[in-house]
Amino acid sequence: MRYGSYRYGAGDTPETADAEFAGRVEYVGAEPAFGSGYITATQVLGLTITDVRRGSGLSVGDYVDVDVAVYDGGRHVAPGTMNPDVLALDPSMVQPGVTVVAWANVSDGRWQALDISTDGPASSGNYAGRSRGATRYSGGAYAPARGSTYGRSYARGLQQGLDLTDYPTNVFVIIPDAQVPAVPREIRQSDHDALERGWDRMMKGQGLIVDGLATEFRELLRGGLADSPMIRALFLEIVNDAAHPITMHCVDDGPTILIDRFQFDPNADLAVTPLPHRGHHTIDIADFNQTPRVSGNPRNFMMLRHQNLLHALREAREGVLFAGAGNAYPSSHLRATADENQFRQEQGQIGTFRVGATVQDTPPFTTVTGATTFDWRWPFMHNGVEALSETWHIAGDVDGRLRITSIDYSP
Amino acid sequence: MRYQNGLQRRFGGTTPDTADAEFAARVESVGPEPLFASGRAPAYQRLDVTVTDVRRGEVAVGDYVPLDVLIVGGNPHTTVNEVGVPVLDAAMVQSGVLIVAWANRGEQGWEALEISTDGPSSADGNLYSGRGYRY
Repeated sequence: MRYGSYRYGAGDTPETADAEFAGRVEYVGAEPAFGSGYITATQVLGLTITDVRRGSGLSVGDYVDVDVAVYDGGRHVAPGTMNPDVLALDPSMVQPGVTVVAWANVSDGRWQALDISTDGPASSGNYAGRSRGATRYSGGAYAPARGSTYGRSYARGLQQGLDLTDYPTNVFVIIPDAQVPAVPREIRQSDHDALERGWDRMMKGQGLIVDGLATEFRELLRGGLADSPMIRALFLEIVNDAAHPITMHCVDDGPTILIDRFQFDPNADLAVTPLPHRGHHTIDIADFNQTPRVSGNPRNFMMLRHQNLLHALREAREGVLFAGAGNAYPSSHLRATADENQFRQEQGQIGTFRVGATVQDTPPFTTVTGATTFDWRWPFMHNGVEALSETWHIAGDVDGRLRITSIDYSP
Repeated sequence: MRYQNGLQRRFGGTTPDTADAEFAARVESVGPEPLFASGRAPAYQRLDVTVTDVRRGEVAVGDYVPLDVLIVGGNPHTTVNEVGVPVLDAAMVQSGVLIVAWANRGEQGWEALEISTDGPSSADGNLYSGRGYRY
């Protein structure tokens, strides 16, 4: 069976697919925006290969992105959390840390899975071993390899020797893999292991290269990782994608930077390396420190420091992934803004941005108030009306340094 | 590709190919340079233009349009000012020149994702103003 017009390598069925392998899920990509039809909808899984049953071009320990076909009747699919009318991978089964078996073809250097199978959160000790017992799945896949060489014990072994400088060691509530996190700081053991490996990758300049004020950036980042599963997932998406590295420059009150600047390397000589500096993003730590870490009654709508961090990371990520015509900024910025609404929901904050018809219609709205001063205003929708707003008052100097002088909230 | 996040469906395009309109216009005036670079917020520079030709979209020849041009480093006809903020290149984008704009119509007015011009040499009307586009 072919899936729409999508070309899937050599095989049309799991039995004839190019490869069959087990892998640990490192991150789960965004849900499809449309249902499979003429074009097959896919969702990306980032996997670390734990066992290869057949196929070439894969080895244990490899990190690969796999596009998983999502279609009605497929295994481990469920109504999407973003749009229940569009199917997505079932997040209760397919999540970071679980082990999956994938039957996949390779096309243009990218793995595309016809089918996957997993026991979900209970799979941490399954599949990954090389002991194969009774046929459990259609491909004659893996029996649980309890106590075998891979899976949990393998993962724990990897934790040794990691560079965890400034890693947030005392903020997480680590729970068993079989439990479901109830609050943002609860994290499954396997997710925590993946996060440590991701942090190690960052420390080694893999996927995410930090330039400038690295200690300050790590301090900002660890707060985001501690507070937000969404930031944890995005961080892993970035650090595990060596094919699309991001260099994050962190400056303190740098010229022209206000919170962040898209595709900009402050070290570059613009006469030699003109804009845009693809793969580079710059944040200003002084601006982040002007924004609140937490919010609560009576103003549980304040834009938090880590909401801005999420925006910067997502915008940078979309910038390196952009393959269309024109400039990457509009779509990257809008995606980052949409993610902010999800972050606010995750954090239990009231009020959402109304993403307008154009970039220009989407908050913040700029009002010039003087020769070197201006405001950024974010209105928030609440209970169906624009009931809340936040306004940053900003001043520049002759050197192009921009500072948030105050923040007003209404009400 | 139109942007969609599952919560809100967008109607403006995010690339020149998908923008709501493509039209040629004469620049009547150039607004002040932006004070910041696009990142956390988009930066714009205003052009007031008179439409001289419409390739697609709901705009008419003769319309006077305030056009907010999205300023992102690396876009055509942008440069950086003395403090390093990307701005429209004043040598190319000035009153009287003809431009082609790829723009969206939103609640705040017209937003150009990108513009193209031959600069002052286009002011005599022999470029862009007809239906032949040079790009």
